Amino acid sequence: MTLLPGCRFAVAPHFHVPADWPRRLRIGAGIEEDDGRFFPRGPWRPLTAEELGLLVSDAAGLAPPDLDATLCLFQLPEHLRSAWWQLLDEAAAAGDAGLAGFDVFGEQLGEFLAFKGLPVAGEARCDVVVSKPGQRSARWDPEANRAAGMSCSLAPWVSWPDGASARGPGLWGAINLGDEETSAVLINLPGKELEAELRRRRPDEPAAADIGELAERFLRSYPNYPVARLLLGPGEGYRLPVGGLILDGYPEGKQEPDVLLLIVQEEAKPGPAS
Amino acid sequence: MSDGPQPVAAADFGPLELLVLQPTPFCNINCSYCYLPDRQSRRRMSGATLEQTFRWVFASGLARQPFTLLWHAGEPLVLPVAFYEEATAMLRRHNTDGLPVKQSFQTNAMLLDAGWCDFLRREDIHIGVSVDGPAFLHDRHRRTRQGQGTLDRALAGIRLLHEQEVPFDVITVLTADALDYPDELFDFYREHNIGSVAFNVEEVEGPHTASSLQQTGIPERFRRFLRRFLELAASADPPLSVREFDTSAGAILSGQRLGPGARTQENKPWAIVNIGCDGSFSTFSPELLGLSSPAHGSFALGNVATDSLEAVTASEHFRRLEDEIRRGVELCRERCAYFPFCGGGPPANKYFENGTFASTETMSCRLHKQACLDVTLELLELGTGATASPERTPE
Repeated sequence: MTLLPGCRFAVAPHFHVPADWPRRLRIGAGIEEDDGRFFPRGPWRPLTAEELGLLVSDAAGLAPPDLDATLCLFQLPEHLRSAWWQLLDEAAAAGDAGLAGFDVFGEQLGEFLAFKGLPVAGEARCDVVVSKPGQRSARWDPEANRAAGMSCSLAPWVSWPDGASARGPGLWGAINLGDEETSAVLINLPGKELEAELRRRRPDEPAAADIGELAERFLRSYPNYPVARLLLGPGEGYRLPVGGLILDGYPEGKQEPDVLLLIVQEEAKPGPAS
Repeated sequence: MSDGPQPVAAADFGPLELLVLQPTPFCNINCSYCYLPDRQSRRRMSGATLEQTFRWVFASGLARQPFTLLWHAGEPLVLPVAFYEEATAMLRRHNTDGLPVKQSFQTNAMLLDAGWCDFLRREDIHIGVSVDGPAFLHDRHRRTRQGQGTLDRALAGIRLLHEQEVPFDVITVLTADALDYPDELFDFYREHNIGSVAFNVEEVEGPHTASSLQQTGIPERFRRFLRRFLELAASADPPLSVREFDTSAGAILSGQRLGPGARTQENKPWAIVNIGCDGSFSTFSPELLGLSSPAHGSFALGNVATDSLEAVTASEHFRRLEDEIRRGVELCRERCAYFPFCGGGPPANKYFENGTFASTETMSCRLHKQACLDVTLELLELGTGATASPERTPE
């Protein structure tokens, strides 16, 4: 199966990040299902010129709404990344299981992103996820004590299609806090394209009720869809497009533990209908 | 009663605060925003002209208090250390009253070596290094004549200054591009152990007839940049000293306000004396040296070899220039709420932006004075960076 047009990647405006897309992007063979979980499947290869043309956009001059539909690559300044590691050092020295100052760090991060024109609107929180080198997924299911694999970045209960028209609850973006490169793996298709592909194959199937169902149907139905792998250098991060994408962190091939800062937009989960 | 230029009283002259000497107009690089018209010329100040320069300065009566001697208006390090050793000896010979004179170099740092560092340290010379931040900002504008970036060589010079323990400040020219990158600039200064920074804005001066900062929306972007940068600088450990904050905070906190008749270094006659490599001299903004205008002719008022201060100040040439600049300062005083903190905008900016010295607000005023004062006041009120460093180098 070939890569389809969908979400594009660009360096966020007001950031200077060497894009080097041919080095930064790889394409995998497809998706592997393992006990109801989905993982990218190699081998990984460089993109063809045609695939690069489909995936990469020139950010210069990009403005909403195009910008909102783009995966924006950005770089955390060194002083903020140092501040994170200093927090850890101080917590370790104090023998503190908590992380005093993390809230302040999160506020500073929010101020920086807002200055750069990538504001995190509404309520949000920061989570730090540490993964073992070589782990198949940066998402962990604590109840099952196993890697959780790829899923939609929006909260799975977000209604489809109404809930996916704005930024909201779920992953806003992520930042590689480590000193070593890491990767994100993702399906480049936004919800509408996922649905269109599913309809093409199964026109009579009723529409998915929520984002989680839509993502799972696609992953199960298209095991040969090429997964894009985005390399993130130390301090580099991405902001996801409005409506989210199916993705995961991918610490494969790493020597050191993967340290990923997740910026998560929050919204109260609606209660059961009365 | 005549409306023409009024005689200038001798008491209005000086005292000399800043002596700008141009050892050569030549610069080894070719910055896109440079205002020097002859930067490709390899002329240099002769020993005889240097001797006449110091004789003229100390005979003028302007040198009545400690002053700064700034080697600038070209890349001063193009000439060998021996030139400056000889100049320093000459300065001492002519400075018979032993006035403290602080020498200063404004340089791109690319030609520094151990010999230079030894000289700078021995003579306690102040160094200002021109560097515009990370390569994607610096190398966009500060290039060789072949179009190559110059940051690597500037950083080699900075490393050498650190190794040889020669203290220095940095001047960064802010273009429109830079206003999106306060964090990146802050990281750059920290990475290279730069503890003191001054921001100049990309000005419209002489042959540089348009600035990227003339675009729509720049004043607000400039304020956002400054606010963010100053907050970062104040929170650093140790804090990063920023001239724009220090001078603005000094003006705000000192309680001293400039009243009628007040003039600043740049618009007060003979507080600054600029002397070109051929001995031609001017006063007011250093950028005027070597330039001319239809109304005033050359801004050079005389030559140290032939013209005394008395003769020049009595000339119609000087009186017309001084009169127009004085009227411009008066207009500032009448019309601008910032005057008590500013004392009137730089004459060179007025002339090159407004076409006359008898004018008021410029882009330089809006950004470098008004925005800096406003943002500093905001931060002082918030208690951010409330400790200002009063000692600053000339702009």
